[in-house]
Order: sequence, then structure tokens, then C-alpha cells
Amino acid sequence: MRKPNFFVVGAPRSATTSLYLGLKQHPEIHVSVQKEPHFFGSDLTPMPGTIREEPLYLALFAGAGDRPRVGEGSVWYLSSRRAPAEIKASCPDAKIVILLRDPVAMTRSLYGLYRRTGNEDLPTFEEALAAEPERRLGRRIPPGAYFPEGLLYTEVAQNAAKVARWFEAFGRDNVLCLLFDDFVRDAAAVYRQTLEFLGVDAGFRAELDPQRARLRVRAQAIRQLRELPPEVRSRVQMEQIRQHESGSRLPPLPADLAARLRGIFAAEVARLGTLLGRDLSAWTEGGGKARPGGARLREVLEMVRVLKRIPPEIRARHERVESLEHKFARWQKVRIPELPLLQRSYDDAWPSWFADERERIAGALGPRAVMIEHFGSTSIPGLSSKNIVDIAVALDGPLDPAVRLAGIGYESYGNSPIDPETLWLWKVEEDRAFVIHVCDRRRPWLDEQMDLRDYLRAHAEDKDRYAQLKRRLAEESDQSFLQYTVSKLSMSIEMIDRAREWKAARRRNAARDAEGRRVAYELTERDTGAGA
Amino acid sequence: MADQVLERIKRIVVEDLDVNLKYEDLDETVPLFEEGLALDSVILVELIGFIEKRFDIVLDDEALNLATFQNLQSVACVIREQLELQQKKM
Repeated sequence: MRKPNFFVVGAPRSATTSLYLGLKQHPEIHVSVQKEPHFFGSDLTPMPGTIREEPLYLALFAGAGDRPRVGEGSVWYLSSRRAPAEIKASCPDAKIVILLRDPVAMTRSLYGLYRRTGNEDLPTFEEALAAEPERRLGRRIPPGAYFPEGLLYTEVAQNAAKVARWFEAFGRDNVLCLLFDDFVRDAAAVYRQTLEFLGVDAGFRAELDPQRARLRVRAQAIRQLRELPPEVRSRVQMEQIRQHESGSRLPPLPADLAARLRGIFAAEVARLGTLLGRDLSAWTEGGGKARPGGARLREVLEMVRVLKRIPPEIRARHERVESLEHKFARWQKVRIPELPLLQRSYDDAWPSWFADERERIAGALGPRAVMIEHFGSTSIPGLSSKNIVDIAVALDGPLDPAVRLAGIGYESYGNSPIDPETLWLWKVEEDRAFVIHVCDRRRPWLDEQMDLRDYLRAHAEDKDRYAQLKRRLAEESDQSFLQYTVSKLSMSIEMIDRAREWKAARRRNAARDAEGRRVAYELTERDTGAGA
Repeated sequence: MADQVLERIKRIVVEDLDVNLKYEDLDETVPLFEEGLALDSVILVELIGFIEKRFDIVLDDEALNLATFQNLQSVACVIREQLELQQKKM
């Protein structure tokens, strides 16, 4: 019987499943069909999917054949005090993979999962955090809880000492620490890094979008499941039901709570950063995309230099509201919610998501909302995008949209990157987000964006060019924010100009047609009149 | 001349930029960003725009680097250089 020789040991809610799905596709790797057997870590409470019996555990790797790498991915090993030594004793040459994530986002996501699975019963994250001291003493544990230690959220997120335990047990060279942020930004690069660490063909290209990856490994999973002893199979099913149970979505994290949590985790994040030799300051600064101030200012100056080369006549068309420099500088300050969303190919569901959301927005804002339109990448059939639906809302007359939209789950994020006088609100759900850009009906960007949308819908060639640029930008992981923004900005300038010309030509044609019809009508009138 | 340029920059900062600073807060040796006057990227872009307009100069690639924007003194220094360059050209 083969034993595993590598382990993804955590952390929970940190993209381990996505990475695992990628590893599953690799021809030189066999991973257990039950991702989280939690065989080791005898100090952890057994969960419904836990497999503690050795013969059953080893059955998970029966189909490994002669593949060089055999592994599993139990995310609570990281927290276990005993798991490092237990694994070391059983599999002395094992390689260890750890994914780590911003503790604020991670704990909140864990709370969301537990609300759905029944491990948690407190109605808000805040209350759950407040209950932690009592829960540590074994009180206020929900009757349906299956893993009480998971409820000690702030403890779960303290990872520096845990990572150090693995370093100590296996040696630093045998432990690979990856960041969730890197995986979200460039899954392919992180995947490649993992393959190199495991010593298998790093050139292999896997599907890393979880949904499509699941489809790709489906046949293999079904075969593996069929070969498992029935008692293991039933536990795998329980585990999967638990993980995929859907339920109420999470409300936005209040800003003051987020700030408080960042304070709580600051010292721990610093310790982890030192241990890993990585700059994790973005985790304590919040906003997910924060970068050091010096770098930001250097980029602004570089941007000013680059923009000076744009011909004045082009600039004039795009600076009716604000200078391009100003827009760029604003973009740098933009606050974006933390979203573990990956690029995916066009999804037919996007328009219907918009249609449903449109109803809710119309209901919340009433007749003052004179226009609610879908725009951006998800509005153009054939374009790839993240699961983020952009919605333009035009208002007629005074209205405080933020208050009303808060009622349907939207949180304000200041001004939209599109326009300084447009409010920007986000509703973040488990695997998708809605973004409302709401402004007075006279703001010029409204026409621009609608023209652009209609133009790209009607012009496959330019749509493909746009898609190619997006793909290229997504693939080049080492480019700076500046390069990314400049490429995107210059492309959108060009496209908006084309769209505007096209729309104007269409209007002229329509006017000509209407004129033609009017003349024809008059002529007929005259003819019939003459005949009468 | 030297002080004149500095005075004009200070007036731009106080009167034209939305930074909520008083004239007497402005020390020309204090850093413009971070732990100094804490100006941000948007303000930096606006400052460049005002300098070019008010002094009728164009800050070239060389002038647009972080060293120029260390503090108000270094900004004044670069402006004076640009002004002299332009006078020579005329």
C-alpha cells in the first residue's frame, strides 16, 4: 500500500481546494478523492469526514500506482499540535504545502462556511467573535457543532507559531508556504511553483478555475470513489454535502469591525511576515490592495510622464470630467473589497443575475432611478470576466441612494473609479459580487459606457482584441500596477472613441432613414391625395 | 527670487489643494508624503498640474521623480532650474 508523501496542511478558507483540484489533474500526482481525511492530528475533534482507521485511510491511495507524488489535503493539520510529529513519524520524507491568507478575510469566510454547515449558530460574525472567550471554556457551543475548535476564530488565524512547528519538524526546505493573494492574482504561477516544489513536471497546464476543474476530474473522481470501501465512501459523501450546503449569504463586514480585527491581528501578521520573509503589510492595512506609499507615488510620477506623451487631441476627448492623471491617481486610492474570485469564461447566467438584481435595485430606489443598465465585461457575451456584475444606475433628482441600497445589501466604497462624482457600492456574495455605479443622469460616462457595451456586442473583432488584452494582462503576473493600468486605459480610450463614432454614425443613419420614410410617406400621401 | 518661488508653492498648497493645511503649518523641509504633510497620490497629481500652470513651465521626465517631491524646498529648487532653463531659451 502506498502512503502519502506530500500534504496540503492548511489553512482553511485559503484556496487549498482550488490548488488541490489543480494537483488532481497532474499525471504524476495521485491525491485522495476525499480531500480532507484528517487521519493525523489526533488532538483534533473528529469531523463527519474524518478517517481515523489506517486501512481505510490507506485505501484512499490505493489507486496511486507508480505515480511519484501521493498526497492529501487536510486543512486542520496546520492547527494541530500533534500532526507535524505524527506525519513525520509515519511519512518521514513528506513534503508540506501551506496556503496562508489575510486573517480578517479568512476568519470571516470561515464564519460564513460554518453558518451554512451548522457548526455556527450566532447570527453575526461580531457576536461569534465576542463569544470566543466563553467558547474556549466549552460554553455556548452550538448543539449542531461538529468541530468546536474551528469556532475560536481569532485563534485559528494565528499562524506564525503553527507554521514554525512545521518548519521545525520537516526543515524549511520541505515546507512550501504560499499566499492566497498570490493564488488569486496568478493561480498558474502558484501552481507551477507547487509542482516544482514537489519535483514533478512543472510545465503541465491544469485547469485552475474550480468549476471547470471539477468537470475535468469528474470521471477520475467517480472511478476513485467506486473503488473505495463503502464505509469510506459514505464519509466522503457526508463531507461533500457539508461543504456544499448553500444558505444565506454574508452581509458586508462593518468597517469598524474590520479595523478592529486588523488591530488584533497586526502583531501576528508581522511575526508571520518575518518568518516567511514576505511583506504582508497589505493584510494589516486593509482594503486588500494596499501597497507601500513610496511605490505608489513613484508610480504616479511615472504615470504622469507616460501620459504627457498622449497627443492633446486624444486627451481632450477623454478629459471632459477630469484629467487622466487625476483619474489614475484616484484609481490608486480606490478601495476594493477582498474577493477570492478568479477570471472565468463567459457565463450565460450573468445577464439573468443582472435581471434579478435590477428588480431589487428598482424596488429599493423607486421611480427616481431612471436607468438601470448592465455594463462592463459581464454584459458582453463572449468576454471572460470575474463573477462581478457592473450596474449603472442613473438618478433623476436628489436621492440618497447609499441608504436605500444598504437595505438590499450594498456597502459604499466611495467614488467609482469611472467617475469622481459617481457613488460606488458593492454587494459581495460567496462566489460573486454586484457593483452599482450610481450618479446623476447627466454624468457623461453613462453614454460612454453604454456605447462601449453596444459597440463590443456588435463588433466581434474588437471584442476579441479586448479579450486578448485582458488575458495578457492577467497572465503577466510580474507587471506593475502602472503597466496594467496604462495598457487598460489606452485600450479603453481607443475603444470608447470607436464606439462613439459608431453610435454617431448609427444615429445619422437612423435619422436619414427616418427622413427617407417621412419623404416617402409624404409622396404617397400626395399621390393618394391627388387620386382622390 | 528664491523665496518668491517657495512662497508661491506654499500658496498653491494652502489655497488650491484640498489638503486642509494652514500657511504656518508648511515647513519647507518636512516630507510631503507619509509621515510629513501626508499628501496622497491625487494631491501630488494636482500639485504638478498647478505648478505647471502657475509657473508656466513643463516638468520634464527628469524633473518628475520622487527626489523632486521630497519636500517643498526640493520642489522649489526644481522649479527654479526649469525657470532658468526657459529664460535662457528665450
